Amino acid sequence: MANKHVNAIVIGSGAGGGVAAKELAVAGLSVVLFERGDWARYDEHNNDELTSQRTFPLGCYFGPDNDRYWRVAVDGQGNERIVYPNDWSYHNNAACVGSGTVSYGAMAWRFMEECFRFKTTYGHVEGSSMADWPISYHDLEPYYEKAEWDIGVAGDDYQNPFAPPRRKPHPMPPFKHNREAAMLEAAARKIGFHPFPIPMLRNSVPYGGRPACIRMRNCVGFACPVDAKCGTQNTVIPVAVKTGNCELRIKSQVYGIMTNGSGKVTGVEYFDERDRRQVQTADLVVVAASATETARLFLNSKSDLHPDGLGNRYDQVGRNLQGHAYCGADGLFEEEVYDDVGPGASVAVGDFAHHNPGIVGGAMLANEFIRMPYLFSGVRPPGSAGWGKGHKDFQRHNFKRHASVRGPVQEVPNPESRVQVSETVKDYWGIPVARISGFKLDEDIKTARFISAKAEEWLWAAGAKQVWQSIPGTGVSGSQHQSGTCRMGDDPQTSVTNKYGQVHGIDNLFVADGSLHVTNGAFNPVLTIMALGYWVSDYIVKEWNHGNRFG
Amino acid sequence: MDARSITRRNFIRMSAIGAGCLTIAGCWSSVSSHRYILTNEEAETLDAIADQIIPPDDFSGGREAGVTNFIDRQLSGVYSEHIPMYRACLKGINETGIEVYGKPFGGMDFDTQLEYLRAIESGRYNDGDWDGFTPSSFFNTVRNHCLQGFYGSPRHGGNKNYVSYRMMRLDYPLIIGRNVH
Repeated sequence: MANKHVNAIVIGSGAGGGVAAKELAVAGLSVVLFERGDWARYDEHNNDELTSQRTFPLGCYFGPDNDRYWRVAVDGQGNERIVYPNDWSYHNNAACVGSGTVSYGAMAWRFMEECFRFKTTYGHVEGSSMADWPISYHDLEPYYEKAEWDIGVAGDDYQNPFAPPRRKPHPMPPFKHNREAAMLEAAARKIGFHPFPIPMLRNSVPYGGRPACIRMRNCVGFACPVDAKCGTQNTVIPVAVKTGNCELRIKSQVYGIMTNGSGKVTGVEYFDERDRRQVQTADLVVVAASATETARLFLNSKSDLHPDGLGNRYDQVGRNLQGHAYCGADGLFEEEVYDDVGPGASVAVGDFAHHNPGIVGGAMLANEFIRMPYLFSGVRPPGSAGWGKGHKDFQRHNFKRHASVRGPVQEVPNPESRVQVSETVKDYWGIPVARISGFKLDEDIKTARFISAKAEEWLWAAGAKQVWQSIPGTGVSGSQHQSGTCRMGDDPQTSVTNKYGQVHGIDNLFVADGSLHVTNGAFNPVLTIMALGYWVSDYIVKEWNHGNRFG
Repeated sequence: MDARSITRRNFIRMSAIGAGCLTIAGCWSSVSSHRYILTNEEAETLDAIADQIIPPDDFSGGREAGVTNFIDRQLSGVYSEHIPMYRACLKGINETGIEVYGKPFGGMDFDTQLEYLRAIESGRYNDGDWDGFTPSSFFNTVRNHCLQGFYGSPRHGGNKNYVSYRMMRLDYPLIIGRNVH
């Protein structure tokens, strides 16, 4: 039986898509929200570190599975390799209702004003595709606010002198520090840094009909057993469904966007739960499938009028793939700094996010989430035993004497870091898979060295007896912070969408995920993706209410 | 049950249902002598390797923690691609051991095993014929798998009785003393 035509299709139920589905449904549009995965359940995953989002040697519980999903990874020498979701080179995010927002650490950062004006602030970097966003922080500010209040954020930005201006405070008070974070907070003040509590998409007090956080150690990488973590799956998506206007269609893999003779989008083709080909038509389509899969879907949606895929007339789709050049330092302490109050990360400094002399960009620095036992077995200073008695003794002695400070270095985008579709490798359903290739620029590594040195300084100030830095490799970034592959801009020759996420030349096709990011901020990106979900939807709804059907 | 009314007791009960086996009896049936892939001889060799990667002290080593059971189970599933390597290299490590030290791996004393494994890790035997597999790569893989089996969740057949968690003084089940309701 044919599916009933709807006003809007949203592809992907993560940070951007969940928000878009809710906004459109509340405005009265009929919506189908597509999700390729299933609902994730705490009781099913339990506390299994080996299938979590942080370490996943045995597979990714939060999806996707290794049986139907794989990609091609290209190394620095140009060698291709087929990789599965439980390989870091796959650059997985997640595939379940809520996507990454189910298992994330839930840091709720607003990007700073400079993050939107990266090129203006730092000038051009050789080999880069540096650009400013076509919108400013001030354009997005009301939408950050909407995300914070609609989905729920605990924080107090007034303690952060580098925070961008805001109209309203966070809806929930910030979290109290555990022993490690309190120690680091005092140390930061001692050396003139400006520490403050990290804003979190997690309930510090009951909010949105859900209880407060119970401070478990396993939070990042896991679902929350009491639903205190605020994702799209327990906030905006239920609201969308409750309107009666939105159908959440799970276990459905969209593989093509259909267009008509005038080049407009007419709907999508997908495989349902039983692998049957299905069609869903709509007046407009919003794609929020992640920087990798959104680009792949556009590139795989070829037609006579779009021979290179949708929005790809100028060969921009899939380029400028970014994540973050994560770096930092680890420290060991004489006394135990661990008190088993989770999830760990709670103190940050914004001192080095921008305006570091001689450096392009920077990063916020924060203490790290609690390391689970298997992850910690890989945390060792250089030259340490990798196995045997020395390795076991270290694990036993130092697990509670370890602290880590890390930061997401804002990368300089480059066009050679990209998502393409493979010409030879197809997935379980016979659809060309994503092919990921690229590298970080030297400038990113230089910034990472600078940031790591600051992390080291912070740990020494806290009284560490041993400190070592970690500097990222030069391989392409992506993974859970993937962004940039359908960036917004005013010039169709150097961007994929306009400033409203509307694909250049295809008025009824929109993007509402991290793909839109021109640069990826000196912060974890999820709140910005949510804010863009509101921003893009707001434009669609306003136009719709004025009678625009984007035809 | 209203979301706001989750009490600690209710929560632990819910978790117990979910985990299926947070109680004491019958909990560790997953750590059994039943094998999926490995032969007895292969399992004995792997036990000895596991005790080198994580040696026993006042807490279990890899062998007693069920690391071999963990690896055997994964070889029957997500690690099935590694079966040929395990087959070849568990044989190779014994054959080369007999050539060099006069004994299969499991028959060597602890210090000899240690010396031998360090040599394998460093690539000293990479010229040897372990059915086309590189001894140092095998070592690296088996080391990772042993650490997963020892430090990962017991649901996968290792970390018997949460021995690594107890060693690291992490309480289990979670939540005790953490619930603020």
